[in-house]
Formats: sequence, C-alpha cells, structure tokens
Amino acid sequence: MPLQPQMTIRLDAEARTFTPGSTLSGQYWLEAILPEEVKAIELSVLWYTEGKGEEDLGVHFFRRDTLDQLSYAAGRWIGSFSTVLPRSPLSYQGLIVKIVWAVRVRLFLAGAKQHVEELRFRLGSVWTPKGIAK
Amino acid sequence: MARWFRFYEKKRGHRRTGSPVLGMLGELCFHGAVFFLGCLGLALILVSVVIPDWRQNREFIQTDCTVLDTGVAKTEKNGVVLYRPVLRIRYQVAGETKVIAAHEPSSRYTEDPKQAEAWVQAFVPGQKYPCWYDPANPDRVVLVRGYHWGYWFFLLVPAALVGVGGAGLIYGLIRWGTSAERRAVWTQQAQALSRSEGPSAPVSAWPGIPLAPEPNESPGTTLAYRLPMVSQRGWALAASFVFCVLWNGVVLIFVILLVSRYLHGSPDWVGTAFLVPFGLIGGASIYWFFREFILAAIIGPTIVEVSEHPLRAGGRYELFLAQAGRLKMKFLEILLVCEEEAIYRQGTTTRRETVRVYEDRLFRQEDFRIATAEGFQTHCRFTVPPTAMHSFLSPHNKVQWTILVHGEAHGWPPYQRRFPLIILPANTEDRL
Repeated sequence: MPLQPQMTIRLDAEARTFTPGSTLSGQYWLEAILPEEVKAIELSVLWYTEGKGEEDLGVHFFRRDTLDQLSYAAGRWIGSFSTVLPRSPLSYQGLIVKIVWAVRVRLFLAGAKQHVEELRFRLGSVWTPKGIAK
Repeated sequence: MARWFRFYEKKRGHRRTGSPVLGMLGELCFHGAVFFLGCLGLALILVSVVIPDWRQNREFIQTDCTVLDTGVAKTEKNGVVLYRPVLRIRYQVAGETKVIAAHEPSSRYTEDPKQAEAWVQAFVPGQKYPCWYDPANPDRVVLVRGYHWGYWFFLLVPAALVGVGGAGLIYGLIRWGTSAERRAVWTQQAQALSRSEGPSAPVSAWPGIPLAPEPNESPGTTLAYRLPMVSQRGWALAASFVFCVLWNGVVLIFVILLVSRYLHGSPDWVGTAFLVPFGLIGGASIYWFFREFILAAIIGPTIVEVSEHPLRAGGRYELFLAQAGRLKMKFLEILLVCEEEAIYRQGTTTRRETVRVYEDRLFRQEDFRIATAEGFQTHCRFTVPPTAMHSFLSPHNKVQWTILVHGEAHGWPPYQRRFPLIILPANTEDRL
C-alpha cells in the first residue's frame, strides 16, 4: 500500500486571530513521504471567499520550495515561513459573502498527484452580521 | 481511502467535487480539437485559394498569346448547371509553341450562360492578348489575373478557430501543472505591472478594497467631498426612450402602409386588426417614457456631501443633503446601508444576489413642501459602527456601503438614489 503523506501546519502564536500588520510565522512538516516522489512544495498565505458567490482568491505570500530547501529532523521534513500580514481584506463571516484567511501547503508528487493541507486563521475582528428584519 | 482521481461530479452544499484532472483533460481535448480544425481549414484555404492567387499575381510570367477559338462550356455540379468561358490560345514558352485551353479560376463559373458569353466576347479570335503562365508548369496559363478577396474573407473563420483553440490550449497547459495559488500570484503580478504604468500605483496598500477617488476629483460646496450618484432611474429613462423609439418606429411604418391602402380605396381590415395590439403596446411605451422623463425632471437633482472620504469604521462624520424640485413630499429619508453582493453561476446563467446586512436611518422628515429655489437642505451627523466590515471588492463578491436617499412626493411613485461610499477598516491612519 503506498504511503499517504502527512502534512501539518503550526503557527508560532497560540492565538488564531491576528491584527493587520502583525507578523504571521510558523512551520509545516511533511511526514511519510518518499523524497524521490516529491516534485515541489508550495506555501501560500492567502484569502479566499466562501458563500453564495463564485470563489475569489488573493495570495498575500507565496513560495515554491523543493525538498532540498527544507530541513530534515526526526523523520520529518520541516519548512518555516514568516510574513507581515496586510491591512485588508479582514476575515468576515457575512450572510452570503465570507472571507477566509489561511496558510495553505500544497505538495506536488510524481504522477500529477497533489496533497493540500490548510490552517485557517482570522485577520482583524469585524462584526458578524445577522441580517435586517424586513 | 480517498481517491485522487474521480470520474463523476457531485455537489456538496455550495461546493462541487469531482475530477479536476478529467475536467482539465476534457478542456484540453476540446480546445485541441478546435485548434486542429482551425489549422485544417486554414491549410485548405491557403492551398486552394490564397497561394494560387498569390502565385498568379506575383510569380506567373507574362507573354503574348493568340486567341484561336472561344466558347462556353457547360458542366453540372451537384445538380446545378454551370457555364464557364473557354478560350483556346497559342503562345510560346522558351521557343516551344503551346496550344491549350487557358486556365480559368473557379470564380468564372456562373449559372447564367449570358454572363459566360459576355466574358468570352471580350476576346476576339485571331487577336493577340497578354497572358501569364506558371514557370513551374508552363501548360498552366491565365488571361485574367486578380485576387479573389471573397474567398480570402473565409480565412477569418479558421483563423478565429485557431485563435480560440490555441488560446484555450495554452491556458489549459499552463493550468495543467499549476496550482490556483500560483495562477493567482501571476494574475496579481500582471495587474500590479499594468497599474504601475498608470498614476494609481498605491492600490496595493489596501488589497480587496476598491480605490477611492481623490477628494479633489469631486469637491463639495458645503462639505469636503461630494458623493457621485448611481441612479437606476437614468437607465430606466434611457431604456424607455430606446424601446419607445424603436417600437413605435416599426409600428409607424405599418400604419403608413395601411393608411395608404385606405386612401387608395382598398382598406386592409385584417392588417388593421392585427396592428391594434402593437399600437396599444406602442402607446404604453410612450406613457412609460414620459412617466420616466417627468419623474426625472420633477424630482430634481439630489446632492450628498460628506466631511471626509474614504470613511473609516468607528469614525464620526457630517453629511449634507440637498434635494431640488418644487414638491410636496410625503417623506424623505437618508439611510446608511451595507449590502453584500455575490455573483454565481446556476447552470449556464450568471446570477447576482444582494443581501442588506446593515441599515441605519440617519434622517427622516414627513409631510413637508420644497418651495425654495435652493430646494430642501439638511445636515446630519452619523457614526460608522466601529466593528463594521470595510468595503470589499473581488471579481464575484462585494461588500458595498451606500448612502441611500429615499423619498416620495405626492402624486408620484417613490424614488431612491444611491451614493456609494468607501469604508476602510478601523484604526487606520493611512489614506488610499
């Protein structure tokens, strides 16, 4: 049975809510992988929309690594990242428009296979609307 | 165990699952087929029309020939009888005398025998005329040269197929091994590059927030900034005008025809009865247009000015409203509203849904008369909620803040005028 890659994303800060302009840093770990199968690893800090509309995507930070660029310790490959968060758009849970911030790691393997892991966080703190009574 | 390759597609909530690999493969095959068909068509037209045209006009060598005999040949093609001129000529190539039938292009085929005879009559047997022969095949000779531009026009069809198919193929191949994030980065870089060539470079300071115009682009007379108005009434007026003119223009043509028949003593009662409903619709369209026109004229301009723009969440601002027009108002109110807008596809239709998530009435006055030339004027103060969501704009999603002026005059339907605002997140000192 082929290995099922395991990916973990950890943020340095304990809180999951960040203020605009603050630094977001952390690591991602890759385990149970065959190094010769790994083509590339993409790390993104991004926002995307959820809800009724089609998904829109904005990438704030993007890096494409190879396995050689990661460190190896205790049976896992470790990559780290750090970026200053932008001033907008802020995380939002609207009625039909939602804005989600996340750290996303995408692993490209041989044979056009991909594995994706994502860790959501909040940028800023704005209201959650309840709607208008008719 | 989750499969990485799924053949079928199903929908879970708002999200679709399925095989992106199969989808992209399908797109690549489709665009590849379109590209191949375009190339095939292009090659066929090039080989059959464009290259022969080009060679006849550029490469064929001129000489003199003697017309020996003329006539009209008759052929049948797909059940249609066609005629073409036939000219037997004599000419010399490198000292060798050749007697052959001159080559005639396919455009010289006609269904009208008289036209073929007219072409032939231009050449008199025994007379000498210039002719052009193919240096690669001297037996191929023409007496009339020129380009068949009508056939060249058909190049547009395969060229369009090559363009569409090729662009789709390139896009598909780029997508094939590229993540959505990487494509988004390329798009953002391309947008930043195009913006850096223009004057509005600082747009990236507030990602996702629409760019506010400079205050000096729209200064107010009472407060710092005059908000531009977005009115649906203007579109209704334009639409009613276009419909009214087009519909009644067509109806008028038929009316003139019917009246002329009446005047000539042969009235068309069936046609008249048929035209009545169209005339009624025309009358209704005239009423619709004048109603929109009077509404736009009677309800005078609405001016809204704010003390600062863009606004910030948590900020307190002053607002000035001026409503022109001599009216007896039932009510007039000013609202600060926030609406979410989502664009989505349902089947092949693109839909837009708007939901109001916040509404604050800043001002309302009932049963009053606007009598002065300056119109009705009022000032009010308002606060943007400190935790309010800022303005947001992406291709399919939007959070829009608006000052809404809503009113109704006695004897007229209610009207609404929108003044979009840009609101930035709280606790930010920087300006757009």
